[in-house]
Amino acid sequence: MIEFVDVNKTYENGTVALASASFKIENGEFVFLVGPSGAGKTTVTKLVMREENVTGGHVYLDGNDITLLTQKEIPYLRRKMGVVFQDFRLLDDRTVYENVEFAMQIIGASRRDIRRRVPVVLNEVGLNYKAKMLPRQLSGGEQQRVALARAIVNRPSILIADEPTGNLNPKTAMEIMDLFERINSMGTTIIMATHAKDIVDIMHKRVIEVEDGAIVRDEQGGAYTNVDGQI
Amino acid sequence: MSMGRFKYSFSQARKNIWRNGLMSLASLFTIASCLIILGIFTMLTMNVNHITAEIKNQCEIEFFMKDDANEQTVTRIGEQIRAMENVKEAVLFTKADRLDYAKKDAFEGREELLEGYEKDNPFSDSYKITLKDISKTSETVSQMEAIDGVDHINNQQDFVDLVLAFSNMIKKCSIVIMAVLLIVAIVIISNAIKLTVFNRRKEINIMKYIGATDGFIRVPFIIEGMLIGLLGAVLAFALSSWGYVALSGYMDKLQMDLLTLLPYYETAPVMAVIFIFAGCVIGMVGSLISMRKYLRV
Repeated sequence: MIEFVDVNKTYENGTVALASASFKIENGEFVFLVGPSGAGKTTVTKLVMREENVTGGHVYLDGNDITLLTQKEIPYLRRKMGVVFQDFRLLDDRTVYENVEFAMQIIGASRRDIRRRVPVVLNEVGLNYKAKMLPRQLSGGEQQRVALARAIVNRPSILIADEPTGNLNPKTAMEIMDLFERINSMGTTIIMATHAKDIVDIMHKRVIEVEDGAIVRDEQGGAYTNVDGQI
Repeated sequence: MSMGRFKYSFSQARKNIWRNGLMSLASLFTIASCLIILGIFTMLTMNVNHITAEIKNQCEIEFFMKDDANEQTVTRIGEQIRAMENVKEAVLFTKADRLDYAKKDAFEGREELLEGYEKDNPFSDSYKITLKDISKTSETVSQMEAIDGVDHINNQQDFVDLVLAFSNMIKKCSIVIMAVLLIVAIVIISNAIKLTVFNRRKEINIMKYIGATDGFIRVPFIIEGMLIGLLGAVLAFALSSWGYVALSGYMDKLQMDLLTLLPYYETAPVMAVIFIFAGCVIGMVGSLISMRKYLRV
């Protein structure tokens, strides 16, 4: 479970990204973070990954206050999470297989485990037959599938996605969302910051709306816009 | 570090060197150049020490006794001299020995000029003294001057002072130059590795998100730096060995007793250790410096 308690985050340049934000995300939930650009959605994901730390309040993960972690402890926190970005962030000089393998090498997995696990995950995202290709030989949707495979290969309990469909056409975006839903159905918590109205509306998941650093809406089975048509 | 992780880090380091071929080569030659200059100063220091030691061995004080010194006085003075702390050896050179020496050496072929001197030997008895520490020559000479029966003492104080001052100057200069060279080499290799790190910032960034520890990210770069340093050291050792052997041969041809270089087999192990150590340290420190910025994610 992830819990934000009265979280404040002000950046060094004085920008207030979050102000007294409080919410809870249970294990296995699928949550959309919505709101205008600069509202504070990405800050929420950064605080969960401890890429940034709060300037006030607490963030708990399974009951542990992660704002108190030392720099040396942060990598071990991140091993519980997978992350997917809008720009995929694949290594251009490595094959699909190597991009996924890389994530397992980093956490010190054995070669045997890597050989067993990577094909399974590539199969899950439907890219087994493109394992030897380089990212530039793939379409945007396929590249995002590789990024997704890399994010889940270490079996994280939380998957964080920052605009994962931002660079994809609607059809491909829906295919990627199907994959997210399948991953979620296996028990992985998903936190997704997005501007994709259609997707949020179709998926009927929990929606947390952030505006000017404040949580202005937290709705189960919500749509991108609320009944008043905000955003 | 587990074997698997070391293998991974080593293969990454090898790939990085290959991927950044030109930059790696430039770093390698830079380190080799710095090490060669470092080696020149190390060899210079070693040889100056060697030559100083040779000069020290050949530096003698000669203690001349008064003409009327009898056998007992000569023995007593010998005992007093040998009892001194800084005296390594004192060999008696009698007036008869000196006359023989003069006949054989200075007056060779014209010995008749020295005929008759056996009965009225104009020379004095003396002790040829070798000191343990020539830097304390003047103190030892002062002590000797207080011995009853001294006529005069010949010493090479000016020459000794000159040799010592020169050798000290060379040592000090070498230390300063070696320190500067090490810093220069570290700055250069840290810039080279900074380029590698910059090229791989995306990878480092992803590694941080996935949960790689700083140590895990650093190790391949450290190995890369050390490998470049090590290759630079091997190149520097090969070139300086060739140079040293050539110079030694040239010096031998000159046949100057005091200016013979230390044999190669004596300098080579020292050079090898210094080069390998300095090469690895330069590579490692250079890598660590260049990585700091990119680990902050």
